[in-house]
Amino acid sequence: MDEREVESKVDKKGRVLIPAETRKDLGIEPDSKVKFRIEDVEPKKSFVEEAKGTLKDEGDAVDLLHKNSPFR
Amino acid sequence: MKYLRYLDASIPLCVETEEPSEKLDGCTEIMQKIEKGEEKVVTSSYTPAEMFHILAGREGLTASKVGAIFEAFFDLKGLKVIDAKGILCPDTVQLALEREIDFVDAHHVMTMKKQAIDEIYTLDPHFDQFPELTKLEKFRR
Repeated sequence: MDEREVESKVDKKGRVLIPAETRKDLGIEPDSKVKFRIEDVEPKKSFVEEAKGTLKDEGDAVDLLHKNSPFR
Repeated sequence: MKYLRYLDASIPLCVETEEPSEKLDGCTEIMQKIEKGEEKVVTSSYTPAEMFHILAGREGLTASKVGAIFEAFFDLKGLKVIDAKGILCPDTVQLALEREIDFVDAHHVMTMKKQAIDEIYTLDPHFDQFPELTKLEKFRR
């Protein structure tokens, strides 16, 4: 059996999706059994950690929103 | 899951700009509570649209960074993004012109009324003229 390296996101119910191309290539059909070998787990990204300070020095949040507003 | 409050773009944007600095701690806490699902809020698809308009193409922000910010935004456990309803648009235009507020803000007001929500997390003074709405700049239990 060929080995494939795929990356997939775990959903809220713990399910992962095997990409269609990989399913097709390996002949995976509904009710096929597959073996997983998990090599890496990337933790869920935090919005605050991702976003914090990314627009620093761009000014006030509301001013940015109203920049093109006719009613500033 | 019941969504009792509304969120507009100014709160996540404050986390990004870190300004107004005196509001940053409050906005950060709101986003952290939503992230953990300890606060449940609703917003319309206009909110990520406004955020995208500001973030995308900004110097120093790569496409992959912007993508990562949005991935984290849409993964917020306590956030529900609902469709911006076209049926609300004619009344939205009237409201925006009457109150001299942005179309998106007026559409948020219309959406909140439709959803029977009367509290909004926002820093935007445009919402001050709606006494029937409670404006929140900090997390409230």
